[in-house]
Amino acid sequence: MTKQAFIKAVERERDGGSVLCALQIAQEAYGYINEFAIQTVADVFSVSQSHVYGVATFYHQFTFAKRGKYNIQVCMGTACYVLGAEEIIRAIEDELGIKAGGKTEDGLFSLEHNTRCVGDCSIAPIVIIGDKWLAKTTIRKTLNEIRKIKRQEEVRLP
Amino acid sequence: MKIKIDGKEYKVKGEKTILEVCADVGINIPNLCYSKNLGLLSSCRVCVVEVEGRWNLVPACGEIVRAGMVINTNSPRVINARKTILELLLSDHELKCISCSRTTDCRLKLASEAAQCDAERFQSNPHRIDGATHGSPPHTAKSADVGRLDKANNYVRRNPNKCILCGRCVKVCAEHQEVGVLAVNGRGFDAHIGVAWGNELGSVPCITCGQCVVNCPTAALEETSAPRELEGQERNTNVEEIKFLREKLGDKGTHVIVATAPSTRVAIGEAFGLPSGTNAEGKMVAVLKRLGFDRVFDLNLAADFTIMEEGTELLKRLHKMTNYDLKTRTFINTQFTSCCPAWINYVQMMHPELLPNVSTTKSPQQIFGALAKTYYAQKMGIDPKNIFVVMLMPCIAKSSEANREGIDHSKEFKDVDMSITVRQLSRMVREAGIDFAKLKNEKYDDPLGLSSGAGLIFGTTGGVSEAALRTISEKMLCKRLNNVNFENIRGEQGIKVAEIDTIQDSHGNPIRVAVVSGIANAERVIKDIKSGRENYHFVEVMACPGGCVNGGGMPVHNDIIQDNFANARRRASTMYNMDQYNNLRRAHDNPVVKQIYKEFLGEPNGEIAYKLLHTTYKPRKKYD
Repeated sequence: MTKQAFIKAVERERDGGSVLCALQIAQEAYGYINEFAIQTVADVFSVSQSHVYGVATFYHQFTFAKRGKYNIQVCMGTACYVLGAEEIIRAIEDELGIKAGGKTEDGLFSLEHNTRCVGDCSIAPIVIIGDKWLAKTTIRKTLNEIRKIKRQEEVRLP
Repeated sequence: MKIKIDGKEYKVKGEKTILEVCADVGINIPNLCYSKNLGLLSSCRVCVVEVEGRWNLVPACGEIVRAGMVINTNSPRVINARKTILELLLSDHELKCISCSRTTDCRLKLASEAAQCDAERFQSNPHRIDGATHGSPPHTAKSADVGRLDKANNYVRRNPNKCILCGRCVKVCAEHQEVGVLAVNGRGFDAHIGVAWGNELGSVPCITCGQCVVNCPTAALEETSAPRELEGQERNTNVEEIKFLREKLGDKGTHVIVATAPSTRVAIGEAFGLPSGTNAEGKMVAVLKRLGFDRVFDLNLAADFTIMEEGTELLKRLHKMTNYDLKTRTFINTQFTSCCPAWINYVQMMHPELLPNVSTTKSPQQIFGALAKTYYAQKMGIDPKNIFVVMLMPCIAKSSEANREGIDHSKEFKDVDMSITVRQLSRMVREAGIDFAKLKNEKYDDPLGLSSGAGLIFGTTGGVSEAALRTISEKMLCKRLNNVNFENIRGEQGIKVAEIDTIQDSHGNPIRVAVVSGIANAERVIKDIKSGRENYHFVEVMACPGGCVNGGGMPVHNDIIQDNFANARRRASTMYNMDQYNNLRRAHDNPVVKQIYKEFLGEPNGEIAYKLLHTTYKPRKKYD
């Protein structure tokens, strides 16, 4: 999204929208909340940057660092947790060599920290990789999926 | 309507909260976040009481009493809940009460003591202290200010380890001042007061008015006086700054002089138990002499000079028509006052286009500094480098003004070496063991000790305008006014507008004066002028609501219902009374002013006056 297009979109939000909606546009457009987004939202809504930043830090849906190409979310809701979500996270950490909240060096994967309940407890535990949902998943199933993506991406590279 | 509190029946009239009704009948329900001036926060929950028929405890600050209400303020359930809430607040508190600058007036400490809390009952993971959060890494990129002392801003220091997250500072900054540099960042256990990008206060447009500091119930926010010698050094407490000043006072080779700002004399007594608004001028002079200041002068004299210079400047501007030029987006002729350093900070950062319209006259503090290091030094035969000029101020921004770029008349030394707040002085007095109330009144020293009532009322909103109008009116009319009271610009309203018939601009229109206090109101007036709705010749701005009498450096009161405005009102009315009974009520009548112009400065806005008493302003960046 170009800067002009983003400013236009935020200006549309100002009439009847909220700072929150404007930040959602930024998160969608850039994959994270950058300084330009905070500045623009503050200017358009005539509020201070501190205020916008405060709103952004309140909600877990906003991130301040760019995520990987495939963002991995391991649901930590009660149902998923008792069915082994914690172990799945540790296994993914070992596989990718990163900590929860981090991103792999090649920028391919990021592992989100502490994902709130995603609302599909009947098919727990749930792992979301990119836009693919793994239902009733296991450590093996999850790691296989990650390795599959790795192989695909390697093929794509020249 | 009848209600029952702790088994006794009371009659109540009007819409009042439980907290107010209880305070009226002599039951002090402790609270940390409630302030009459700020509106409801209900964040600390310390004031919870039991209301019959309600299954949960209700905060007394936010509950309006209704007929037939049965309230228990000291049932075991209430007392236990209050104690537990305070202990939970203390669980991640630093607990360095003895070495804390607010140890005598900390609301948290007073309430915890009264509730007989066990400060270490809950040993929480002190997440705000060491930066580690409860099990989760910070989910922001730079949550830098979690657990760090914020010292980047030289004038306001934040200590998140003492913060109880009541949100008073956020509210006063966003709503009264509309600066909004403080916000609550994060949520849950990670929540903390911070600024944009988790940076420090120095990198956001903080105007250092200090309203967050006087409204802070603990010492999470405090002022720092930043003398140049201490710059860049690690200073953790106010103690080091006071120690620095003590050493200067003890140094025989340094001539230390102090000047007291108009509003300090009506507030200093409050720090020692005198009722608010007590005129303690004589005692204040006495205490400063006991502390070892070589000379004690009155800043009101410098205020008289400000009037002479600013008034002359205004007369010059009045020869041209006042309006806002839409094409060049500049104000052709409105004159804004320049006495308030927080207002200057605001203009420099938020409205640099207004800078040509701000009076170039220095504030009384800087005028005094310049005169002390030139006229006074010459007269006394002391090398100005050996004179250490201290200011006693109701203000935190005055420190920033003393360090402002281009404010000093000479490159070799600062005009004002240090500016301390009333609170800092009261700590020095306590440290020295002086019984303030027992002191005998003493008088200011010569030659900079005589001042007019016009200089005195600088300390309240409307005072600068009134003082200026007294002088300008008489100059314009070439006759003495019988009544020099300008009642229509007195009072605590945020925006006061008056048309002064005795003074006309070049078109023969009476001049329009706006008196503004509180930055939010200043913003409103600027918008009015820009849009062409209003047209003023002279706009006085004080950043703190109510003017300096409600300044960021004033003593903090721990009334059960905190009301800074009421204290400010009492201080202001004392000042107007003192002015009323002063024989000298016009700046241009002051014999010392006349003498210094004759001996040293020449004429107002003249060449020497211009060099010493005027300054220029540069725009500043909002964000670093």
